[in-house]
Amino acid sequence: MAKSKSPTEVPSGGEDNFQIERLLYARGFLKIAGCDEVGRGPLAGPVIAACVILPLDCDHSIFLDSKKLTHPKRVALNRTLQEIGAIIGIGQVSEKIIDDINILQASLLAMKLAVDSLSARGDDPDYLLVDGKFSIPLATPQETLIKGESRSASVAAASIAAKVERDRLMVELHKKYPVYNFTQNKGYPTREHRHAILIHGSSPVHRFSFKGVKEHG
Amino acid sequence: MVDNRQNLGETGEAIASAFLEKNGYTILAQNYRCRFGEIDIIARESDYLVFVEVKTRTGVSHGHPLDAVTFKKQKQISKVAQYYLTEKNLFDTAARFDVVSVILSKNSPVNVEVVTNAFDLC
Repeated sequence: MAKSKSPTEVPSGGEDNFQIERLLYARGFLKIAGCDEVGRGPLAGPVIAACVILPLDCDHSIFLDSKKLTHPKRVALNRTLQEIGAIIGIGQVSEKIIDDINILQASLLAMKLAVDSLSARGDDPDYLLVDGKFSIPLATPQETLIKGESRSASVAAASIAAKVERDRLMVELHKKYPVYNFTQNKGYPTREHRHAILIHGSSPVHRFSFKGVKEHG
Repeated sequence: MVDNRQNLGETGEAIASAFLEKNGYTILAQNYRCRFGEIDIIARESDYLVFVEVKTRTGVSHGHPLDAVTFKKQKQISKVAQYYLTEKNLFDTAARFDVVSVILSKNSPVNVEVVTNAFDLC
């Protein structure tokens, strides 16, 4: 059944990026969500995760890895997600908690919160496709996908939603801490951003990989 | 008085770094200074980059040396530590703050105590 698509709809990788989802539908799952997180690399700002359930009936091939898209394309695709009625949950973990529990735990927590936000609206996914190699601490059946954004349209959609939301938040943080130019660097350690830290010092939204006191006591 | 206190501080820092080295720390810098302040010792211990504040006292009558690391001081050390990490491009290095208390009192041996992970980034 995965081969029923016309060749023109096949994404650039030559693979059907909704095949995994279709196999899961065939196994009886109905609400299959892709989960991805953004913001592990930056020095400032939160980690944002998204969890997206794509409609079965849409052009899945347009959802590509957010890292391979330009900012305007991501914004446009994020709008498309709303228009086609995709179900989107967002999870956010602050820099304070990142410092406390470490970035990996924080990104898994952000993904859990994204799923929780769907559950709170009565849209619980029944299967999760999780980008990366670590699963989300939830009882929901799930599968981890390395390079998930290029293998699953749902994961790619989640990466787009998460990225757009995080970019929006960084523009908000820029208003509060303009010296770091978060609008441009989004908190990533660019030369300009590092220079600003050396001149102005760090801000409360900066994070470094410090060990949290929690592990001590 | 100022000279005495400065000497005391220097002696304490020397004792502290010798103690840390004996306990497996590699000292990377001493009295690291930048526009945001100073950190007594920067060292590496296993996978951690450690920013160490040394507190030296001649007795415990003025309270324990560890209590002297006020929140304001912690904030300042945090800023300097972040400056150091930024300057050296060490963003993925796990770091922590230790405090070493050195108590030098007459007629008793030097007491050195290391509190690992004494406070959090703030």
